[in-house]
Amino acid sequence: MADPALVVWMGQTEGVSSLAADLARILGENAVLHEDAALRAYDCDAYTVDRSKPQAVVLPSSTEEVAKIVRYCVGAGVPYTVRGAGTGLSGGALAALGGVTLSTKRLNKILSVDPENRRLTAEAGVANKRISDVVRPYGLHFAPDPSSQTVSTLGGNIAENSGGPHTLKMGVTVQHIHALKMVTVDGEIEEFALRGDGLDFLGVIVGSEGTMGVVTEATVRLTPSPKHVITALASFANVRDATESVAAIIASGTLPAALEMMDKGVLGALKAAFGLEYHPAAAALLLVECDGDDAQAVEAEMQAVRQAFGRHAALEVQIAEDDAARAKLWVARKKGVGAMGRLAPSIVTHDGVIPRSELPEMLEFIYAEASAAGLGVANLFHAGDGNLHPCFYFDDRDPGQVERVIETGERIMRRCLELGGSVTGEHGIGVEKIDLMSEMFSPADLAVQGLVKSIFNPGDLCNPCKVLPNQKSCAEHRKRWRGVAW
Amino acid sequence: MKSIAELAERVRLTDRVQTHPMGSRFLEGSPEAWDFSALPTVLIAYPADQVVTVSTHLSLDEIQSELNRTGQWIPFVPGVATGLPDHASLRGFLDTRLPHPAVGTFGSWRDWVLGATVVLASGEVVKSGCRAVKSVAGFDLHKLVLGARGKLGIITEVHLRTWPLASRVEGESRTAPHGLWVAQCPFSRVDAWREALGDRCLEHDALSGQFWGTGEVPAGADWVWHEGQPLPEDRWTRRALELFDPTGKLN
Repeated sequence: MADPALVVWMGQTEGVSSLAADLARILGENAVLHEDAALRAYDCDAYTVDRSKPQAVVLPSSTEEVAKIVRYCVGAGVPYTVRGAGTGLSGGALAALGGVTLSTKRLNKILSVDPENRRLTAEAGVANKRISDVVRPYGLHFAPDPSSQTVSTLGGNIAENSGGPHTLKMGVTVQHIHALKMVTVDGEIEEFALRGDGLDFLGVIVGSEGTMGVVTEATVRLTPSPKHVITALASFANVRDATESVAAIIASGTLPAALEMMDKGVLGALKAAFGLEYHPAAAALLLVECDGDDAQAVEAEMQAVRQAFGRHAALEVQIAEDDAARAKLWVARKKGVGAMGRLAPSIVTHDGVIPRSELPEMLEFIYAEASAAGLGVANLFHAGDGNLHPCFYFDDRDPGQVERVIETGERIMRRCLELGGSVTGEHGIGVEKIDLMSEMFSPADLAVQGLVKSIFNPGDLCNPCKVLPNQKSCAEHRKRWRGVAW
Repeated sequence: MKSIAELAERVRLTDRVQTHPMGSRFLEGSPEAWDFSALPTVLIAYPADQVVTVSTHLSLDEIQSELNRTGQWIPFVPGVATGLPDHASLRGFLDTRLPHPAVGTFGSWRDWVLGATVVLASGEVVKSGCRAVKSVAGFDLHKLVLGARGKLGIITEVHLRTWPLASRVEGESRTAPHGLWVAQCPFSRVDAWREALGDRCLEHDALSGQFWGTGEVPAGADWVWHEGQPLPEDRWTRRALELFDPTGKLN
């Protein structure tokens, strides 16, 4: 039985017009969207498989305004979901039960920059890259660098505990947050900071996918930009040589700043889309970046990397020591995803993690699965931390192919779990992977995760139906939004 | 207790559990603490992955010497705060999130614990995280139990990041004076703190800005870790304790 309070908000126009009117009374007309065309633009994030429109979108300009909206929603029993730039890849910003989408678009101020203490305070809607751009003159940067960083927001990065190519050495978002401000599910404004003593609430809220409250501000830790950077791009005649090089580099004790891999599928896409050509016999590329303040130490690290390349039959190694040359080596990595979009009408990028020594075996498993299912696959991923992103390209007008993409993806995720890994390294569970949670965790494990969530959110209005399976009222609504894009 | 299942059953049936290991001031040693020494021992090193899966009733010394044989170590650098006896268990370090002076280079427990097995007050045995170095699946119980003084559950096994031995930094374990604290100093105040502390500064990590000292903590600390201090009594801590241990049986 669905909660009657929630059913009211599922597509009933009467309720909707009064909802929009109420929100407009609180924040003003120009902070509320409720036209159907506008709502359609908010019916999914970058995970486009499932879609569900909110009944209204609000654009608050301050933490206090967010708190007013949350208090209204709680009073009226309306579900609400926070949304940053909408670049999430697991449906975290999907308005699963309709209700209000709370956009952070206008929470876009950098509030203070403190280069001496290496920290910056910004509102949740500030784009990731803007933070690094603002502090570049001080020789600092914000370390998490998801591929979406030109648009994805600080709030979204906090919700998903985002990674990126350079988080191999520097750590993911949770390691770069000093403090945050959150509107709790009872509409109060609370601050959480790193603490020496006591429970690490900050560590739990970061990565909770917007389910524990609405984060409106954060103070981030800035990282000194390294004085010396050397980048290498190596090509290999087969994937196993490349993946074994990764294992050899890690085993040598070298922790590069970035260690990324691209396989033949990506190389083919780069050639088709942009005319980019690499070594004619290359079946895989490894991009490795070493950095630090001590030039000799960086040299020595790169030397260890090159030895690993040598021992694993690299066909060619290109080295870049200045920014212009470096940008050229990164082209394959940065343009790879866009290039794959041109291979087929549809692509689906998966996100799984394995212990990194299992890479050679895992890649072979992926190729075998793709081939058995008759699907194209390309791999462009964070090899250094074992975070895979197999990308299937297919024709979504053929239901048979869609089915096979889903099944193959699930088999790959199960293999990740068998090898001791995880069903997501950085994209999150959202709605996309909610069924896989029961494969990774036992019912008791999931029940205690429910307890962790209920410290902050014992109810079901704040970003409902995400992360944990079998939530009240979600199953029947899911039939409505599951797979509607197809 | 010869198995985790037996430990869990005892936790379920009892109304009072004392798990602090004996013998250390920092770990609030207690003669009533339960004896975990007969539990089965897990220590699986994955040097190629730089991860170890390990029982928390083992001492850090035991774990380090096993790990060293695989060319790895846990980069906990002994210092003034770690005047622990040899038999202090890993769980004690985790329960207190015990700081160490090379945090700026290697990070600390919060960065190293990738997953955990925890016996809850209800007697249930649950797992969180996994042994891959990166995962964002689910809500991280293994982060919440760190530093919780064993009050949210008994951490029995963890997946920890390890580092190659080549990176090893030698530290010297020294017995700390009473009233020791560790505090995070903002970089802009480091010089002022040095001056204010004088001889009372026992350690300082320039990379992180953390100080070890005694007596009064200088003004402007981001946070302070006090020896033997109880958990803070804020609203969220109270709520967590009510949810995880409604009858208050753990420690």
